[in-house]
Amino acid sequence: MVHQFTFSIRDITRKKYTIILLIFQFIFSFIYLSITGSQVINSIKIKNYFDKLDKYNITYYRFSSIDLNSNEYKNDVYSVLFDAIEQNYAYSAIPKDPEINSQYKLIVVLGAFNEIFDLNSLYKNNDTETVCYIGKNVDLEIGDSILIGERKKMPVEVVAKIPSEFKYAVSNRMCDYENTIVVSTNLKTYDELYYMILFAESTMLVNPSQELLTECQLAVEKCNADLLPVSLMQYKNNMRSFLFEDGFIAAFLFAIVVIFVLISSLINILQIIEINKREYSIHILYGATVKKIYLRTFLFVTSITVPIIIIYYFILDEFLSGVQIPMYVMILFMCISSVLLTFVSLREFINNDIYEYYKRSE
Amino acid sequence: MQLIDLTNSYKNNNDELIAVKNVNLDLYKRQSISIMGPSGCGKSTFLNLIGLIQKPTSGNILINSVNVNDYTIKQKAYLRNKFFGYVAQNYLLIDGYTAMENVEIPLLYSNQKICKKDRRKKVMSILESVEMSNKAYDDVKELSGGQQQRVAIARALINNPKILLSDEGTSALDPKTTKSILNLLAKARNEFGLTIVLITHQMEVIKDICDRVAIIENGEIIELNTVEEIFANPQTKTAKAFISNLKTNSQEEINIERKPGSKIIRLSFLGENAKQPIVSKMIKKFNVDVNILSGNINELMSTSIGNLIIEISGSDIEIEKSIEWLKKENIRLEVI
Repeated sequence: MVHQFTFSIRDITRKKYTIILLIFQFIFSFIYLSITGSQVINSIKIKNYFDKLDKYNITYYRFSSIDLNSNEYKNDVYSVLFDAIEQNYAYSAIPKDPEINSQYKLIVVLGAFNEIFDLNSLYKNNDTETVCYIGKNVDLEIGDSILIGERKKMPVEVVAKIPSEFKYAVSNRMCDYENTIVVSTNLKTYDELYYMILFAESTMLVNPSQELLTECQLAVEKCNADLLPVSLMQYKNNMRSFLFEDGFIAAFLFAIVVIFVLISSLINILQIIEINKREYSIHILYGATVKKIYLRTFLFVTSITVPIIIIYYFILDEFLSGVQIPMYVMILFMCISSVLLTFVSLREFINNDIYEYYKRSE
Repeated sequence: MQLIDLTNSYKNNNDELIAVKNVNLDLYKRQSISIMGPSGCGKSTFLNLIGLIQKPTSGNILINSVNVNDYTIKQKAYLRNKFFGYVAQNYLLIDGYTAMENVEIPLLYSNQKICKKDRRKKVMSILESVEMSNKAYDDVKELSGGQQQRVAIARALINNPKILLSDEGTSALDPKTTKSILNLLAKARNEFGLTIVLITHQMEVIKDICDRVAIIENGEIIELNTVEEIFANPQTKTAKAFISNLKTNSQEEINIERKPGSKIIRLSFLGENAKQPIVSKMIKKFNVDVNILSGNINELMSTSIGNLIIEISGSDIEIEKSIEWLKKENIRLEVI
C-alpha cells in the first residue's frame, strides 16, 4: 500500500503541470456546471410555478383619473374591493415603507394572495393571523420579529423564507421576492395598522365574475373615472417564455458544453493512465499483482479528485455561495468516478497480455 | 521446467493465428538454451509463455513437476518475482527513476519484507557486480545503451531467479560490454545454478554461454540439439541458413565457382578433429588436389568446431574414395 501510494505520487509529480491544469479544468467545469445547473433547476421551478398560475385569470383594473383619497365616493369602491377580497375574488399587494432597512421592500398582502402565489405551501396561515415571509436576501431568520404599522406598531413574526422561484403579480408585472418582506394579514388588521393609500391601485381581481365586474364598474363610475382591465396573462406568458424557454435553453446548452469539457478532462486522465501502462506492465513483469496496479491507479485518480473537492469547497466557497453542489454529492461523485475511471482504464490492460504494453517503445 | 504441448494462438480479424504450436521442451538447472528463428516465428511469444507473461491457449507448464498453468494471478506474480528474471532488448527501464529505483522494483514485490536500508544495500551490491554502482543514483534515461542494459540485467538478477529469460538482451551492446555481461551471466549460472533461456542471433553469445539451441519456425521447434551438433551438423534448412549466417558474421564467404572435374565440399570438424591435419593426410593418401576456399575454427563453450570449404580435383574414383575416407574419420561433410 505504501509503495503503491509512493508510486502514485510519482505518477502525479511526473505529470504535475498537466495534472494541475486538469484539476483547474475540473474545478471551473464544476463551477460552471453548478451555476448553469442551478439556473436550469430554477427555470424548471419557475415554469412549474407559472403553470400553477394558469388556472387564475388575474386581472388588474387600472383606475384612471381618480384620486380616491379625496373622493367622496371612495367608500363605495373600497366596499366593493373589500367584498371581493373577503370572498377571495381579489388580492392586494400594497407597498409600504420598510422601516427596518431601506434596501428592502415591504408589501402587505391581503385576500387570495397566499393561495394564488403558493405562500400557503410555506406556512399554513389562517385568515386572521398576521405573519411575515421574507425573500432570500433579507437578513432575517425564521422566528425573528419585526415591527410594522403606520397608525400603530405591531410585532410580526417571520414564519418562512420564500424560495427564489416564487414570483408574484402586482399592477402589470411579475415581481420576485429577493429583497422583499411580505406581511400577510387580513383587512381588519390592515385597517388598524395602515392608511388606505395605494390600496385600490394595488388590488387585483382574480377570476372576476361579470357581476363583480359590473359592481366595480358602477362604483368607479361614481368617482367619474374609468376602470381599465389589464390582464396579466399575456405578461405572465412572456415572462415564462423569457425565464424558462430562453433561460433554460441557454443554460442547458451551456451545461452541455461544460459536460463536454468535463468529458475531455476525463479522457485526459485516461490518456495519462494509458501512458503509465507501460510502467505498470513492467511492475507486473517483476512481480506486482493486478490488485496492486488497481490500487496504484485508484490512488493516482483519487490524488487528482481530492484536491478538486478541497479547492472547490474551501477556496472558492466565498465566490459561490448558494450554487454549490452539496458536499456529499461531490464526495460520492468523486468516489464513483475514481473507481469507474480505474476500472475503465485498466479493463483492457488486465484482459490483454501485459506484453502488448511493455513492448511499446518509449 | 517442462513445457508440454504448449500452444498459443490469437485472433486477428476473425482469423486464428498460431504463434506457438505444440512445443515440448525441458529446461535444466545450470543449462543455457538459445532460441533461434526468423523474425515473426514466435520466439518472443515462446519466451513470454515460459515466463508466465502470456497465457498458453493449450498445453502445460510444469515447474518441479507442478503444473503452474492453473495457478492464480497472485501465484503467477510470485513466480515472476522469485523464479524468473527478464531482460529485453529495449531494457524495459522506467524513465525518471534512478538505476537504484529500477533495480529495486522486484524487491518491493517480494514476499520477504526487507527494510529500505537493506534493499538499497542489496541493490548496490548487484549494481557493483554489473559495474554500475557509480551510476546508482543517476536517472536511467541519462545512461548509455550498454549501461541501461547492465541495469536491466541487475534488476533481472536481484531476486536470484532460477531462470533468466533474455529477449535479445545483449543485441544492443558493443562486443566488449557483451563479453562482460556474458561473463556475469556465466558466473550466475555456475554459482547459483541459473538456467538461461535467450533469444539471440549473436554468434559470440551462443558460443560463449549456450549448451543447446532450439530452432523455431512457424511457432514450432523444428530442431533442438546441442550447440556443437547444431553447428557441426544442422539438420533443417532453417538451421543451416542460420548457422551459415552466423559463420559469415565473422568471415567473408568466398564466391564459389564450380570447375569441371572437381567437387566443392564443406567440412565440419568437431572437438579434437578440429585440430588434426586432416587435409594433408587426405592429399597424401589419395591422388587428389585440394584447394582451400575458406575456413575457420569456432571455440564453443565446451569444445571447438572447425569449418572448411575445399575444392577437390582429380578422377571421380579418387574423389569418391577421399569422401568415403573423410566420413570414416568422423568428419561431417556436405557436397555443395
